[in-house]
Amino acid sequence: MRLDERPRQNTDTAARRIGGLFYVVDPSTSELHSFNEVGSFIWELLDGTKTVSGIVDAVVSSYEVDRPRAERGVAVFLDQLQAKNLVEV
Amino acid sequence: MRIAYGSLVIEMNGLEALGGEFSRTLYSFATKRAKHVSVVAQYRGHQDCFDRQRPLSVEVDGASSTVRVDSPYWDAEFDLGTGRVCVRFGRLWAPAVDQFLKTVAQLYASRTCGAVLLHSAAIVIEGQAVLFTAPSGKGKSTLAKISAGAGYRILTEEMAFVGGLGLDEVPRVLSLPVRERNSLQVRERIDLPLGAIYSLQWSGDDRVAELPKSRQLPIVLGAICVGLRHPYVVRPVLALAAALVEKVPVRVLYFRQMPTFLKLVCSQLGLPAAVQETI
Repeated sequence: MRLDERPRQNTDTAARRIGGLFYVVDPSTSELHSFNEVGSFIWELLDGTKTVSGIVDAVVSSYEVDRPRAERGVAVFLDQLQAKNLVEV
Repeated sequence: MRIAYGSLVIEMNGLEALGGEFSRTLYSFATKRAKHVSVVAQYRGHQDCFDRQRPLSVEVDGASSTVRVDSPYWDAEFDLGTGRVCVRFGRLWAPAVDQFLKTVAQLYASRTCGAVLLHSAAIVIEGQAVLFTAPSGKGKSTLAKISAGAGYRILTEEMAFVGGLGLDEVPRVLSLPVRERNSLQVRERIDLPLGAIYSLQWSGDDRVAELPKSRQLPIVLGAICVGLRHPYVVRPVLALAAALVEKVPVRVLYFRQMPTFLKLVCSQLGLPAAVQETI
């Protein structure tokens, strides 16, 4: 996913936060996905208004991670979400 | 049998049972008798004999859109504007009817009662309901029989109706709300706090494993008898399952099909030793 793209949660998914972490069901597959803390943090930002670059900025400012590493991590995570049809661009 | 929930009407085989809410009879039919009776569907004043390849239509409370829900056994179109559901079953009609009724029941339980139906056995231990969930044929009935033999009250071997999932509520196991027309029988009312949920695993010994929330939620979702293939179905169910996991511990019970597991469960519930000693 490119840094200028603005991913948003797939509106067909159902998501729920339990104990600070998000759980997302993809109705097309009936699969339940659970995210760790950083994944949950990113999931909340996927509203279609923030660019990938902006999401990386938010991760860098909230967690102790340098920007190149955050960029890689966010990109991998978003690609996984896209492959699972949990986000749209 | 004619069962109603809100404006949902399912008519079966000329027998009549009208419930203001979803019905124990519905599940009894769906799980025990579906192979032996035909279904007559009522649809806009017309009656249509249910056949293996013919659609069953039911009427449901209205909402605002049409959704289509399918499963390996059936596909259904919920016209939420007119309150109509059209269902088409495949060749395996008996499990299809079973699964369809459960899904519709779950839909209504979750959307209108704020409750879920959990595929589980439920026993009463010192005033608390304890649920034991497992796939069919994996120990629920055995556990219920063993518990009954040890003097415990069995609420269900198959399906528990769990409410009290609102913000400030305490989860409770309730009667499947049913009222049969032309029946003088008064059903026992169930309303018990839910103490715990156990996922059963056959084992050579009795022990309990604690689980992180991330593993508790799939257990609860797995026990909710519903096709999760449409957001209209998934959203309320996921919300209620999450609420349940937040409020009630979900554990794995390794179970050797002996009454000894009861002592373990009592201990988990924090019951006094005197109670445990009576087992």
